[in-house]
Amino acid sequence: MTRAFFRIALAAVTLACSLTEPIPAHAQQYLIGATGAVSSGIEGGSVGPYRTRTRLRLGGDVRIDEFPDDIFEVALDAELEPRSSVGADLRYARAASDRIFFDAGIIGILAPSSLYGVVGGVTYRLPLGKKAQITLGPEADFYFLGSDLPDGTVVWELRFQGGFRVDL
Amino acid sequence: MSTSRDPSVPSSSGAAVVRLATAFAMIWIAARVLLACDATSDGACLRFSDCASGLTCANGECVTPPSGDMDGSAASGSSSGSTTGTSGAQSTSGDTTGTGDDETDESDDSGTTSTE
Repeated sequence: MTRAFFRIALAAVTLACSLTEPIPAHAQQYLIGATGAVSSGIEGGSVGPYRTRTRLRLGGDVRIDEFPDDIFEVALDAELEPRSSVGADLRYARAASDRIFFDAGIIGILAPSSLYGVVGGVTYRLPLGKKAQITLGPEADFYFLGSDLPDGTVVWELRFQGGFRVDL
Repeated sequence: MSTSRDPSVPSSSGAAVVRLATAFAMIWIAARVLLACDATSDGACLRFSDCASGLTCANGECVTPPSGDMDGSAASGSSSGSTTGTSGAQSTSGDTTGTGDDETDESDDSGTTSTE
């Protein structure tokens, strides 16, 4: 009786172990993308609105596969015309869906004069293939610090950006 | 039994081309609208760097700094008396778009520094 019980118990344990095959563990993966976009729009402050400077944005984004909706972005910004300058921005983006992404962050124009502020926007990613997308969307910038600002002035910009993004 | 494709359903590559064309058309239209309200044609400014060399931004206009204020410290909207000028190497000649004797030169033209 006891011997039969042990045989049944051993068989049950063996069966249970075979059913719960361990899932192989894997390390977190960083998912990286590269983006390039051109934007322009209107700006205002003490006067305006006027057409704002055309800006080229070249950057990258990174996210972890376990949290693919949380994205960190960094980019170099170059204002091209009618006056030129260079700067950078750092943003946190959140995926609202597969195609719509909200972002917010800080932006700084570094040379030839400084200008610092905050930025927020929405990006729609239009898929072109498995790894490439067209990016379109509005963006708002507010500059309130820097040597390029007259005293007491806050410059706002409403931009529309269009560009290209690739998953690396 | 016909196996022809429904012409009303675009292929994937065709849809991508349509998307691209639509996107670029929208961008082109937006660019044309924006060019119509260009600020640089009337000497308006929001930032010091909007103005040409030798000019400063005061009350939203690029103006010649007042005489004796060659460092371009005639900023708009400042009531402080401090002048923190730079090298003073700016020229007052050239393509002035503002007038030298308008109201921006009279009272509130001291304070910040042009970084041009």
